[in-house]
Amino acid sequence: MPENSENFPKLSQASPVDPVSPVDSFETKLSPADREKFIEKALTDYESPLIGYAITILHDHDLARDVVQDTFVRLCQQDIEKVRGNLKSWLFTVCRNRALDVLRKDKRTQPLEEIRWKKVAGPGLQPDESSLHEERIAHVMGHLDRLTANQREVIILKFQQDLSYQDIHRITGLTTGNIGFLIHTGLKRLREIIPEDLRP
Amino acid sequence: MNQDPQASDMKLHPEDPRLTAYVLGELGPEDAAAVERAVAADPALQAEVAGIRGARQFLTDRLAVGGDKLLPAQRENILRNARASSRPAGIISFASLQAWLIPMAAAAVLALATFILMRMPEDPKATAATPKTAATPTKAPAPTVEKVVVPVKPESDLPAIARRDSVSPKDFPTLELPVSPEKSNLEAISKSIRADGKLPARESVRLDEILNNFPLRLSGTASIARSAANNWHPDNRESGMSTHVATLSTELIACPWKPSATLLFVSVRASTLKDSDVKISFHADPATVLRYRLLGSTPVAGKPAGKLPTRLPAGAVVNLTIEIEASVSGGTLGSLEWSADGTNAPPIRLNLNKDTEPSDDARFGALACTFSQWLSGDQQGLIDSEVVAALAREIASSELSADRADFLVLIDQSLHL
Repeated sequence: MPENSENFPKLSQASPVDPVSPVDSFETKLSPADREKFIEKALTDYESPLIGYAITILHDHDLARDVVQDTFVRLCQQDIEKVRGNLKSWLFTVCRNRALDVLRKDKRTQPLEEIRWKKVAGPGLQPDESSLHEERIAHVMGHLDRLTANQREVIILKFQQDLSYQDIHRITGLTTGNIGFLIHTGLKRLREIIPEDLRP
Repeated sequence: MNQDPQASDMKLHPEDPRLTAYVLGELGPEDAAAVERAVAADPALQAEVAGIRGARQFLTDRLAVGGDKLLPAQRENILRNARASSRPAGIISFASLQAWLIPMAAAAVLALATFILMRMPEDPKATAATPKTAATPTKAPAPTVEKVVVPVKPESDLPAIARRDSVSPKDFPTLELPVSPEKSNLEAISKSIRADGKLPARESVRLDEILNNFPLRLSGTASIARSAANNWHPDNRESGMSTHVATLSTELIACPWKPSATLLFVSVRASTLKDSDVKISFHADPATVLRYRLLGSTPVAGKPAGKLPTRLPAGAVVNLTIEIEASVSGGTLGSLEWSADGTNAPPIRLNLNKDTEPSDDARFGALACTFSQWLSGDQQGLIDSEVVAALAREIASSELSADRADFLVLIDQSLHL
């Protein structure tokens, strides 16, 4: 993953979905009980995918969980009516922006050598599973690190999160045509780097 | 992806991105059918499609999300926010504050503070920074008291906290600073306000612990301590060895509750790799500093002095705040000297420049200090609910992180109790 977060698209152009503002007021048409249920359901559905995604940006399980917690807290502050139609891309947008924000701030004080994959596997897995998971992710991320930041990001969103080009457009601000090109050229590059692994 | 007008006789090259879009199911039905026909007729395209499918399978398998979950406390925090946000009154009263009101709020703070200052009875200590006044042992700032964890209970049977008055640098030119990462007090305060619906007992409020919940990225001078034990050298950075022990950053900003004073924020961040022993001392310049006072870290009355806490666990952050009343509007107020694991780090000169714009983090730190002192009844006459509310409104913005936004919500809730 990038050690240089500036390689990501700028946040200002990142997404047509605005991040939540704590000064945004909410006017919900859902009943309080339905609103709580909606947030609980979102938590159940997207907790693990968001953590997995945040890890690919931050390389740190603890930071990833913090970012995902922030994402859901922001959801709590949001007008649910405005996000329920595109909840998945909204969550990934907020999570991505928050993770990049953390990455940028972290870079200011943390020596680069401290940013490693050592903390990828978290406490949600058993020791053996954790080790395997860590090894698996570290292996593939090592290859993805050799792509451009944009190629890497869209490939993760497509193959880890199974998002459509349209959803990826909402999250990254890239056009769908550009996304298709980036995924195509990224896969091409990977097949050159690791032909044995990618052989059908 | 849009329908291709030439789909019926699509000519494809193996490098065409539409092949990948086809494999990934991103094409419309007619485009997909056209690609399918083209692939069926061309072995080169068939090989390319097979390669793309292999790559898709590899990435899907390897990038599969594990069963990672949030910690129980994090889940509970989210659900608590969900419950709070569902309450009819809404959780963020600041939400109603429009952008144009924020500058007005800032002006209100200034006006209010000025008004309060003008109405204040003259503080005898302010004009008599004499050794006789400041040297009273019970008012000494040196926190040579081992950190006493006050059991936080809403009742008022807690031990009285000895308040520490300002002192003159002529009597106390050096102040050893406590380095305690304890921060649980905010959770106890939150419980009292949110769960019990009442303000916490004044004796239970610990400003330093509340502030430690918010790592501050200060924009003033910073200094990094590196361990000399492993012979660090820039040339071995690539080896993956880290010799970083701790980072200390500072910032001086105008004190929001006392316009004549300046707040010195000090933030110490430990390496994420190991615990460290950090010692910090503040040296006030008697030529420029009239008085100063460490905020928080107050000893408990009746408790004997003990060892100064210096242990900084790996990854921990400790924030410290000193209120300084200077006789000058600019220049050097003193210095901070510090060491980590016995090795001296570069000292920091504390240069006051009132034209410097404060960082958002320092402003947030000032709000946390103001709120904590309001809760603890400290600086009465200078800090009241209006000052707290106005500062909070000034801080509120779309850039706040979730934990800080939640802190604003907590302040709002406490102001309504």
